[in-house]
Amino acid sequence: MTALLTVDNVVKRYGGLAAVDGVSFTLDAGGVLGLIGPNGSGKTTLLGVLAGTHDPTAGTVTLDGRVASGRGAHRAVRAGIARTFQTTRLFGTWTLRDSLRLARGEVKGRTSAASDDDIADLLGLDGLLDRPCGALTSAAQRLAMIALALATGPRVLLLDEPAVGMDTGESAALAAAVRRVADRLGVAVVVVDHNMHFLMPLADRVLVMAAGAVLAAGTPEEIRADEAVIASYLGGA
Amino acid sequence: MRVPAWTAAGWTRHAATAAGLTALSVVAYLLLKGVQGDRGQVVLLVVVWAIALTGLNLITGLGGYPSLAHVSFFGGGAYLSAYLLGKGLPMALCALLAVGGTMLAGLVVALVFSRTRGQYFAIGTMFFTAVTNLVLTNAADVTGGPNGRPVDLGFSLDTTLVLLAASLGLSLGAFYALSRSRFGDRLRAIREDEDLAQHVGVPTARVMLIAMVVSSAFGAWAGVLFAQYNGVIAPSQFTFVQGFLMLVAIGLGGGGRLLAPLVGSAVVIGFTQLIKLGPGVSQIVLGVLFILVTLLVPNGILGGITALRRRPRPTAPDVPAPAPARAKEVAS
Amino acid sequence: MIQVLVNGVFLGCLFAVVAVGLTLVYGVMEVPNFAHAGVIVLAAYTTWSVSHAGAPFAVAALAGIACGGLVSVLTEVLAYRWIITRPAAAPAVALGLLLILQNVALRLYGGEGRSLDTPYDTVLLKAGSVSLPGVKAALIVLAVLSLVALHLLLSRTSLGRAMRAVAQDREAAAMLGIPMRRQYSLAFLIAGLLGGVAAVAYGPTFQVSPYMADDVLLSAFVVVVLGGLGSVWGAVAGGLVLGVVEGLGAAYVSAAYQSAFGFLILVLILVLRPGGLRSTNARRVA
Repeated sequence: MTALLTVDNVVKRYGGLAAVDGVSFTLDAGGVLGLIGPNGSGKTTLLGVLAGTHDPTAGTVTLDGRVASGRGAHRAVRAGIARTFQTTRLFGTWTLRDSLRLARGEVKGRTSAASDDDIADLLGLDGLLDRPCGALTSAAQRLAMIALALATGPRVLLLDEPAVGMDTGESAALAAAVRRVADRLGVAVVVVDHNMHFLMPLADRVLVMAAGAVLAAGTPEEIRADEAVIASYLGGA
Repeated sequence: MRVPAWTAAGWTRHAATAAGLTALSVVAYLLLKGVQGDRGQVVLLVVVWAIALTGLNLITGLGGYPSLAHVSFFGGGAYLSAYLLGKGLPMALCALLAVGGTMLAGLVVALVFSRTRGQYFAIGTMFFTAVTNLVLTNAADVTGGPNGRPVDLGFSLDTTLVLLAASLGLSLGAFYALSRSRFGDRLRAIREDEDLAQHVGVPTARVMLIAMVVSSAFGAWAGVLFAQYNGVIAPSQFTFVQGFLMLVAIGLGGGGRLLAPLVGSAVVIGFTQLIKLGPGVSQIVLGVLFILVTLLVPNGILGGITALRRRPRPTAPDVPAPAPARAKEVAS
Repeated sequence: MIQVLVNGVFLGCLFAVVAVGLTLVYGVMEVPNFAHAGVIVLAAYTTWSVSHAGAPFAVAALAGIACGGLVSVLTEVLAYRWIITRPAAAPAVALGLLLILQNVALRLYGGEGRSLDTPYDTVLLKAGSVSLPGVKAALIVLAVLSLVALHLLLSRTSLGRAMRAVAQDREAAAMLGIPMRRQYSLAFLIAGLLGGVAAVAYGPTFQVSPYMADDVLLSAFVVVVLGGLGSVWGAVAGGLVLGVVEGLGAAYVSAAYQSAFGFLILVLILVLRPGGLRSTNARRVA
């Protein structure tokens, strides 16, 4: 069986600088991959290439055997790859329900997304669907951003620092919600985050990036024990 | 955002809007027919602008893109129809070709600029209008040069008035339908956050392209009617200052709102034509007013009125009141 | 041919001085400053009226340049400062300011063109078959001097370094404790002074009128797009390229359509590199 998502030797250069320099990995449905590395190591750029935000300079991203990279964000979404952003971005004056309906309408007939209520249930957003997104609490807004991504019926969900600005309780609830999404919807999830307490228990596998390349890959336990990683990034953590 | 079309409440709303717009057309016809002299000219200009600006309200109002090219589409319709009429073609064909030709120009402009973002878009469309004006001024054998050219009578005056009045209601009706369609939602999504819109699957460049081409049709048709009524057209009527005043009208009226073109035109035309403050002063007042509205009432006059009307009313218990202005600030 | 190139360099210097003002303001505040044309107009009229009142030209020129700086700072303090968190409103406010400034000029001085007389009006530099009127030579000299002065300011002073930091990354600069408001005002002051220099320098070759700067502004924006928004040296290089292109176009195709060649370049850039431009934008947003 081939993997759901195959990232093959992806390179992204800005001028002479390679932000991502030959990254490869695969991911199966329902799997959660943690992506860690110091600032500027290329995590967010890699996420951007996967989501179609940036075109790769070289290499391909294939979803179910079809090339999904380098064709713009809206096509990546239609192919089944959705993302969230580091900073909260929502259609602020719209209700969450209206936002979800727009997203659902864009992918109609291509993928089947969970219903509004199922999404709200999975993420713990019950009762908030009819509020303007801008009026939600900041933790709820971070979840609403994930809800918006799920409304496009993705097979791969890319989360860019989803727990930023959350307290311990909120990030634990988020981790549980992400796990539910992976388990019940069979969505493959890639999570970038700096918060090891959030990421390590959540991820099945962890990819450590440094200077645009993969420094190490393995289960959270293996990564914790990897001396190169400890030296370069985790330090005493 | 929009009333669901297939509910009873939706249909009542649509019917009321249709009735209101029909009444508006009738009133417009009576005013066009009845008011004479300078004031008649003002009524005409308000109606013509409102038709043209309905198109701009799609791109700038719903989509949030400041287009300064709209006045060129307006001028394109006027000049093309005048030129074709001069060649002896029947009026209906002239109007059709003028609108079609302008839409083609709109397509070209859109192909170049629909992938650029806000600031570049403003600069690019501004430049397009400047160059169009340069052509209108210099290609004298076709356009009559800086002093303009006469326009042959294609429609009788009464036909023109009927068409003007009917087009006003129909244009606004078309905008109402478009703004309540998925197309309208996509444009609103682009205005709220274009990157996010792309990442929920909106093909933003294509949506902007379509909006631009559709909007150019409104501008061109208004130009055809304007040329017919006025009898003479000149480059000075289609400068980028005029293009900017169109933008001012939409901003003052309240971008994206159905009646913004009408309210905005009335304010802008009223200031520039009716109030004699001496050269330049009315435009200074408009400029100040426009900046104040942009700073203080981002949703324009109509948005401000809605907000005022909503404020004193207590909110219904289980329906959270939408709070557009406040929510937007929280999000940004 | 050389004559055409010299004319192109003249235009290029003019575009560069205006474009550097635009790009500085864009760099620190992300505003497309359409009102810059109004600043130039008012500076030119100030020079004209001071000189018309009998003052020596040098005094009038300084008054014009000072007026440019003052008006430019006023636009920042009274309008742009209030939309710093709403970049989407910037083009609208900028155009509103342009409308106001141009019509203030129209109100004060009337619509007919005024000619600005300079002491070097009658000078004509000649080298072989190439001739350069004194006013154009003066513009090239003034442009080079003011751009060198700007370069020294940006590279040698702490004020300039702070400004470059703000242009690089606003949030980081604010975190470093750089007073942002002062930087905004400073950018507008420098832009306004450069606008004043442009007005004094090219007023004499054209007529002074409320709409004198429209074409120059549009060309300067093309320069800014060509050189990259926010890049000073890009603006200088872009200015010279565009000046030569417009000069060549005016000489060999049609003088009436001179500024249209700038538009063609703009279209070409946007068609060939929308991705490049888009990525600048995406970086700014994300």
